[in-house]
Amino acid sequence: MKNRLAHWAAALLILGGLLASVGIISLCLGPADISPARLLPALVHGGDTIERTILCDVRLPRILLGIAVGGALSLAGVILQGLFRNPLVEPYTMGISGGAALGVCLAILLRLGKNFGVWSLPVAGSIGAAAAIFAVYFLSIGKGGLNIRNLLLIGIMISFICSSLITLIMAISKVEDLHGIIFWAMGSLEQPNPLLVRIAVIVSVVALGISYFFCLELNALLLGEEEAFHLGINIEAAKRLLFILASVITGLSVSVAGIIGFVGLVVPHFMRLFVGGDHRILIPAAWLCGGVFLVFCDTLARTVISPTELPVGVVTGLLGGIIFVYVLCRRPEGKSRCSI
Amino acid sequence: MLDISNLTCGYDSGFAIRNINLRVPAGEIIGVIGPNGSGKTTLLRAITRSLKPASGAIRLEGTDIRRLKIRDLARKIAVVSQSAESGFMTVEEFVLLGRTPYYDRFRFLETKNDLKIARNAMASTDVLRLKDQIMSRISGGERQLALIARALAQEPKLLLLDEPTTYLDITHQVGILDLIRRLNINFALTVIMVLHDLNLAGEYCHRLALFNKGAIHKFGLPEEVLNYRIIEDVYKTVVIVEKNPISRKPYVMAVSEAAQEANREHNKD
Repeated sequence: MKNRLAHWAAALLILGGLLASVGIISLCLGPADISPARLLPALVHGGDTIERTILCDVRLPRILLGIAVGGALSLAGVILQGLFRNPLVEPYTMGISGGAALGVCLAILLRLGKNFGVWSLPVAGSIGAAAAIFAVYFLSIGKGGLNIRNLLLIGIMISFICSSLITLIMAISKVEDLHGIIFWAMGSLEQPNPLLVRIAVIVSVVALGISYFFCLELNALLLGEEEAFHLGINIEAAKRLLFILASVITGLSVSVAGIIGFVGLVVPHFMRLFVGGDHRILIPAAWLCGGVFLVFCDTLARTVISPTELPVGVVTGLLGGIIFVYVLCRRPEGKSRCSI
Repeated sequence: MLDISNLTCGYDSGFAIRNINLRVPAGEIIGVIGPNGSGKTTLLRAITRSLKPASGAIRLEGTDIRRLKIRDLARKIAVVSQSAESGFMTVEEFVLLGRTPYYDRFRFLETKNDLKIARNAMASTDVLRLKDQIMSRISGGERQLALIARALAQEPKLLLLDEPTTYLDITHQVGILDLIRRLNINFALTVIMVLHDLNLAGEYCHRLALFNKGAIHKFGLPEEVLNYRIIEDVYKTVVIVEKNPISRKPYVMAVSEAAQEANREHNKD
């Protein structure tokens, strides 16, 4: 058992180190390169220099948002995959992103931005996400409680309905709106509002803390719902709370940063291979790894063909897809179904 | 120990067990037998509270189980079911999950005591040697033993088993049931198990409850229940009941249609 604790500590240290190094590299890189040696002086006694402004007002918030959103999406992925015992579920399967996207499209179409400023898109996204969550949740409450299989099917259906409506909106909207919708839908960590960044970071960290209290429930749920019940788990309460938690952090991530795919699907799988399926380590490890992955992808996105910036969703999709296929192919025999 | 009175309990589909009355004395092994779909598993699910009773009550050591917290119930009743998925975990991790009802909200790691109890449970079911093996890679018989070890790690007073010998060869069937008998004696564990094999049920159980069409047809000692009239009545099958020459317990033999035919021909002549 000591051995296992050492393993866990090592995994967290490595991931923490990776996060720090990716963060520092990301701080240094950009249109104005700042060498690592000058990072600390510029931050500590930079005064009002341009370097300090770039670091503190442009790059640092972006990195923080990357960690918060990457962590939140991975966490939602771990929770939902554990809840459904289905390795293909990800935060966006549940119709949450569809709802948020629909909200944002409507906001752009109705030009709410003119009246409500920078808040209009995130607020519209949150409302859309919340509407989707409520629809999925209340439609799948059966007589005996939350029906997990229905939840999944209804979530997928809501996703389809939303994406059809979005296509409809795009078909009838003007060209300049279209660009806004498409760019938003591909996701971006560029968030000019520092308060939103702060909210995202706080919610993400708090969600990590709350979900950790459910690691034993998630472990027991690996055996199936009835078995978890036999082990004294109040499964109805656990399912509800975990579903709502995953929904809220997904909805918030989508509202703040748009649709950034694959993080919530790939990172939990990757971490399961690395640290195992025990949620006591999987939850923090996936959160950290999600942050590392998203900050890394975002740094690539804004430096590869600088000054043009790629949408970060494209990078995560490409990189994540390749990693996912690679991991699936080299998976040892017999592990494929059971790792979840 | 366990006292079931006037229990009626069922599913939305309409199937239900009706007016069940059963007293399980402490320290006994009760075998639940009966044809497929007669309500045996439904009884177990009612005892674990997976199913809500429509009427009647189940009392565990005098307390209505509905008044217990789920976690407290899991400290008293452990279940070995057929449906358990085992995931990608080692035998030891799997058995340690049996300690789940003993964790506090603010404790995430198992204590030395938890580990000791899990090790003991594995030792008494002979799976300690497999502790680092992956659950999905051990044999069916070993898996069944690991399931029992996990149930023992819950330190229950009552152990429920749903067809613990299905899919096992006779060596493992007897091995599992001998083990259950030993646990019953060594830990004063009360056991209720659903069995399909009437002979194993007669050999290992102190008392048998024979279910038919959602009701208890007969409850009593194996000699009383495994009577050829009762068995033929419930199972609609021609059988012969003899005594096991060593254990003196009843055993049931089915008679094939062809043999019955031949016997009739023979008697005619």
